[in-house]
Amino acid sequence: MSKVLPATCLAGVVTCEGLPVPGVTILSEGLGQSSGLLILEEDSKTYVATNSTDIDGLLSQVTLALTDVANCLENLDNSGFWIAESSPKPPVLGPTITSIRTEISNLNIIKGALK
Amino acid sequence: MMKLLVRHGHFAFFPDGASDVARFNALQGITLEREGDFYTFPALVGLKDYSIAGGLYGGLAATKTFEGNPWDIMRENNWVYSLLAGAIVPKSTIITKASVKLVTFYFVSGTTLVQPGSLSDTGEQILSYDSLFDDRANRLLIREFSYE
Repeated sequence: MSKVLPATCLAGVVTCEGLPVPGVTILSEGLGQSSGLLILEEDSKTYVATNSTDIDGLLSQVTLALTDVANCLENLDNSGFWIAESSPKPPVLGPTITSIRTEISNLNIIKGALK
Repeated sequence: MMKLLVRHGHFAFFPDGASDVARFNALQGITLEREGDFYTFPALVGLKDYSIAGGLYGGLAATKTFEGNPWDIMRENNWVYSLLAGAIVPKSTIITKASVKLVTFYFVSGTTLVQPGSLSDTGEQILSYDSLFDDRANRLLIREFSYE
């Protein structure tokens, strides 16, 4: 038999039910803040981080960055900025911006489908 | 006759006859409660199957993080159930001497129940025993003791 309990980990310290649990084998780096599961089996203690929260956070950051890029490009494109008279006259980045926004939508779909 | 298994200071009664628990309750003035497939004292009902060091377990702060049956957790934390206090206590607080005598092929207790943690004639702590409670004679017949 084993017992699985919700736990958190930060800087190698696993906390369960508000108490630090020493001597836990951490099956990840365990440095950054994470939530996960503490698995107890007699006096054996193992912590497994649930990496879906990490991936969720990563996807959120990527989505935000891409949104900033798309907004920036859109602003520049609509401001009529161009280098020389011979350069193509803006707005010219419409397809690129649309493509980025599609990627953002795709990332949000993946984020929503995380298991 | 009702089987009584004391494991590392934890009590588990296994009634055989229909009146075993009721008669025991009447004789002892307490109420045994059902816990899974046995009966036990109220303070030993509903104990978790794990302890976290520093967290409360049965009213005491656990000293060890451990997963297992309540009696395993009591062993790991050096606890026993106190018949006097009606609660789990550190086994080091039990200083009584067990009153048992050998009768042919088994032991008979001089008290109704033997307090786990009490000392044998050789000075060892009795932590577990396998016994039968004779409700007709209100006495305990003990097959064997264990010091762990």
